Amino acid sequence: MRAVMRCLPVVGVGALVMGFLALPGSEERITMLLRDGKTLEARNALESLYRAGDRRPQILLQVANLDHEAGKLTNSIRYLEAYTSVRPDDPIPLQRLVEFYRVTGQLDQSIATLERLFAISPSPEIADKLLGFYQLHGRLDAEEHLLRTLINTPYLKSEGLVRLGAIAANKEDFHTASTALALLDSQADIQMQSPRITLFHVLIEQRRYSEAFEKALNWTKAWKDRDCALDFVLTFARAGQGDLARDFAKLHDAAFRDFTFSAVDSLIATGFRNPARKLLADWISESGPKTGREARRFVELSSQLGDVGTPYRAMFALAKASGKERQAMLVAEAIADGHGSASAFPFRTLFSQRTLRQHPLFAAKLALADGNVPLARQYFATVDYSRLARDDRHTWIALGNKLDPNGIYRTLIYAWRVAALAPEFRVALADIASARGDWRTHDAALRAKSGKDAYGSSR
Amino acid sequence: MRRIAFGILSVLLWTLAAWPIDPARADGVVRREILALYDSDHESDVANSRLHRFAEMPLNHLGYHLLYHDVNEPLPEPKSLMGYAGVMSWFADPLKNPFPFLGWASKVVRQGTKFVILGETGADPTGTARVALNMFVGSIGLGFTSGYVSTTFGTRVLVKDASMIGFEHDLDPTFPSYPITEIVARDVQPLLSVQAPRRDRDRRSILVATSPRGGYAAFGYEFFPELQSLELGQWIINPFEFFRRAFGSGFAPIPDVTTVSGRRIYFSHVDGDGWNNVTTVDRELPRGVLSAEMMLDELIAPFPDLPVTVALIGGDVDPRLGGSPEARNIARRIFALPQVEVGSHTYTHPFNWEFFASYNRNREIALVKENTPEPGLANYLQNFRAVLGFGHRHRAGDYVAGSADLPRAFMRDPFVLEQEIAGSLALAESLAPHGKRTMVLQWSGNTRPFEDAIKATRASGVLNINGGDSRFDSSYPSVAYVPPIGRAVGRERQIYAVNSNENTYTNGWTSNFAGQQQLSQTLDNTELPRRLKGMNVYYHVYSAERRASLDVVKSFLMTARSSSIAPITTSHYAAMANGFFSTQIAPLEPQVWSIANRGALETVRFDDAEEHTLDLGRSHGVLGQNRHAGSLYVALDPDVLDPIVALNAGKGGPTGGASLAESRWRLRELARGDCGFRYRTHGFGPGEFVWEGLTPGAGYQITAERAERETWTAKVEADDEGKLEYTLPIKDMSRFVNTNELTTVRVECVP
Repeated sequence: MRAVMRCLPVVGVGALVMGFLALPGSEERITMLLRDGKTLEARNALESLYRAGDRRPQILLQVANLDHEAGKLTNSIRYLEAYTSVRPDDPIPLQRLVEFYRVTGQLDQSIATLERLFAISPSPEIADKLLGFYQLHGRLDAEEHLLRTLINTPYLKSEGLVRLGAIAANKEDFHTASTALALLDSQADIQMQSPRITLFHVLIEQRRYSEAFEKALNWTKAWKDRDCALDFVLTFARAGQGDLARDFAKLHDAAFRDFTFSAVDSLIATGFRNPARKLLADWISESGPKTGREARRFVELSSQLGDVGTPYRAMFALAKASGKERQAMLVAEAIADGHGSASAFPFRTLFSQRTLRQHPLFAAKLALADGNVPLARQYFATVDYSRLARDDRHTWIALGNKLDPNGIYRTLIYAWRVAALAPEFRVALADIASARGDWRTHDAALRAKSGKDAYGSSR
Repeated sequence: MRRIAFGILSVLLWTLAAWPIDPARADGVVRREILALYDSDHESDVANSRLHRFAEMPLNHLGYHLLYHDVNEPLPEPKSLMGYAGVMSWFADPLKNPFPFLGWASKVVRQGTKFVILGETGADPTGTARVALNMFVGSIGLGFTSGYVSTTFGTRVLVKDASMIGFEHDLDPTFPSYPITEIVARDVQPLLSVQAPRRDRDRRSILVATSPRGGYAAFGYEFFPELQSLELGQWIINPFEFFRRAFGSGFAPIPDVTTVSGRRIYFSHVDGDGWNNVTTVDRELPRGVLSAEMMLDELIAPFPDLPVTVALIGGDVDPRLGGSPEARNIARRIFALPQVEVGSHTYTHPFNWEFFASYNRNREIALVKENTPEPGLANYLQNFRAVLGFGHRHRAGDYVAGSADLPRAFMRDPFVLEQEIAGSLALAESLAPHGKRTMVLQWSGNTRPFEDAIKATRASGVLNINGGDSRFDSSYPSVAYVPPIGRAVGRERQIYAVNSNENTYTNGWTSNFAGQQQLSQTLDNTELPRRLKGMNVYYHVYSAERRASLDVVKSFLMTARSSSIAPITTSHYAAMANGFFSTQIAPLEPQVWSIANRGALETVRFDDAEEHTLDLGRSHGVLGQNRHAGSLYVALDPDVLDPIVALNAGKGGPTGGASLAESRWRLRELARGDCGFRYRTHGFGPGEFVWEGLTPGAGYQITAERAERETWTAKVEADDEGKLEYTLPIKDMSRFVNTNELTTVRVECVP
């Protein structure tokens, strides 16, 4: 019994110790309060711990969450900031802080926190958002700084490179601009035109002409954009790189119809006559006209350049060259069209009878200019009107009215009846019919739907 | 060549021609209609057009309202636009076939109708339509060359009107590409012009300008486009000032829906969503307290001084769709409160209104099946029980509620418009005290009702509201996200809510449940520097589901209680908003205007009116004036059909008698006598009144009577400036009890 009595204090103390140990700790107590929905008490208990200097992350996060749930964002921000100083590498609270600062109208802090978030957890999405905020709120220095920092990192998307290129180019920092845009050029879809054009102009500003030339050549192949190619030609010319302008134009003549002529035209219009002249000279010597239209364009542009003699010299040269008699004929015809048939008459002897027979319309024109109407009629009679190029049809009608009005009338009537009459011939038929007083044919020719259109367009 | 010469000659002739001196008032009426052209090839409908989203609100603020027209449809006869304030377009791309439009637009400007072009003109100035384009824009005073600067670095700003450019966002230093545009008339006012880089021959281009015939702001120079990463944009031009100049808005009254009795309006409305949700606000409450009851106890009953419209969803109380007697009882208790206006939030809560414009039940069923999970063990057991005669088999058609992924919430029965509108109104009314009518239908879901749905509300004799989702805060830092007053839908009109609800602040009610506290920023930003909107506390019943959201709503109610506001009901706001569109203003003589067809509109406003004051002697049906942010707000007597507003030059108070400066209650039938005045009034909360223009230092006996019984009397002295202030300590809720029971107030000078 005594032994039992002796043990009692020990047991009592033991029980007390056990009881004390069994008491819920502060965290357990908070958990229990939360379980019972006593959030305010739980929050106050957590705050007491905080005030007592407890900076354990779970305490800070818990109280921040409770304040957030209660709509007390300012308090929540305070505890989340305290948390981030304990755990600076945890991105989740920073994400929440970005949102909380924004919602409470603290824009500077929101952006600063987004910057912190990007520093510890970089991603293209955060970079995008950060750059977006800088742009929206006009923080251009910060935007540019970040763009520069991110160049050559996976966090900068194409849009960022474009933007950096544009900002730098505008500040005449062409080195940065070309670096960014060249990087974009190497990565982005080839069809992205606008920044590449900027890159081209930046390279021109840097006098990196051959690089610009190579790149532009690659791009225009893919883009098939005539206006753009023309702009490159003009840019080279403006930069004093006439040879590059000429070469660039020549390389696109096959890709775009009449590109050389367009380039010459634009160069003349913008005051770059020398490159234009050289380009035209190269064209006539290296390529030459394949059609009457090309020859006429050549004569026109030569006139615009004030080089009236050039077509004559070209015609002589072509006539003398082996196998280029037809081209010479085309140029001669163009001279005749441009300066009157009489102007080409002196060169009649340059062409063989065989060649003239192959070009009976022109031969008829020359003969008429020579006053030899029978010979002109002879040549005219051999013209197969159905094979005439569109440009030559009007010449055929004009000549026919002079040389054989009845013949062309019969020909046109026949073609009309067999439904093989081109619209412009239908108008011509109506005109001739009215001149002859054949109103029935006149009206019938014009009544046809296509004839009506043709009449309209011919006026 | 001849054509070009002819074009240039025509442009010169038209620009030299004399223009009407002031077409806005040529026929004696202040022109308020603007034909708004949108291109359905690029903007699917009016609601998605930039004109509606961004431009219409500033134009509403200036008193204009927009009538939309798809530019791809046959264009109206130009002469039919003679009565319009102007025509406006905001295209993003050239039109497919610009020629008919350009020819028409040219005629419109030549007849003297103003034309305002934002963004693209409708035609590529470098293409074949340039001559036709110049015939059009030449009439305004501008001309497009064939030049276009696509690589802009090296561009220099030549002219930048600081009052117009850089309103919310400054010019971007990288300069978007731009056409080379020239001035072809002397009276064009360039607001932004630039010099192209050397490689573009240093040509000058006008990017923003106004003229007496309209205005132009080039694409990318009018509005900083919505960035993909943020989906936010901002105005570069000052839209208020630009539109004011471009449409030649003169000094005239502007119908105003933000202000009543000289104070900013306040109203509150609740959408019924979440009625039957169990609240988590306080777990010490008995289990299963519904959010609707929590709302009643915490947000409605304690605020008898603040009106609120509670809109019930029929399905939430319909027993066939799961509605409980408890839900109906709560509705009855809420509707019985005098400060509560009865509303409907539809019957089956459509989420996607467009779906029901051409409704197909089979399509709806198919959508439900698509969204129904594969039957699990529970379904098999239920079906087995049904075979044994206990309960029902589970079929796809047995569902009662869907989510926002489906076209509507309650889909057991086919959609019937009559039930949706008239049925839901009647159901709500059946739960209200006898004689208390349902006044308003609050659109649900995407708030894009079709024309017949709006028509059905009108046919039922109620007003409609919702949509718009106004935001102007740190998350949406632009006036561009403040919506217009409403949306034209065919021949009908949807009235937008004034502020947004908690849904947009909480990421669709998924996080940050206290997010609506950001509403305070919108309230501040729409009050100054110009009052763009009233104060609207708009929430769903589910705000009472969580402590955070509940506290936020409560905080706004407390703010409203302590603010100088004029509380009105939601239906009254909607009626005022309708009045905005019908109001006709006619100048009678210099500084005097008649106001007609205003419906429930109670205020007209004059902007930049520091040098003007109300002349009560020459006015009729006018209660008084108040000033805010440089504007003069004139309160009209609701009982006077065609009031006349007259102004004097002067900075001080009104002349010609007692003038209401501000009051919490609404006034009517004001009669001024030799020594005092009387009026009838009603409102919510304490009856605060401030009058001006009384004899300085004079004493006045004020007596309030209701139902021929004196309810209050006091003697009050006007101050040294003739201002008289008093408050009727009456909680007058007469509006919902008996509209005849207005309070009559007599103010008589004491000899």
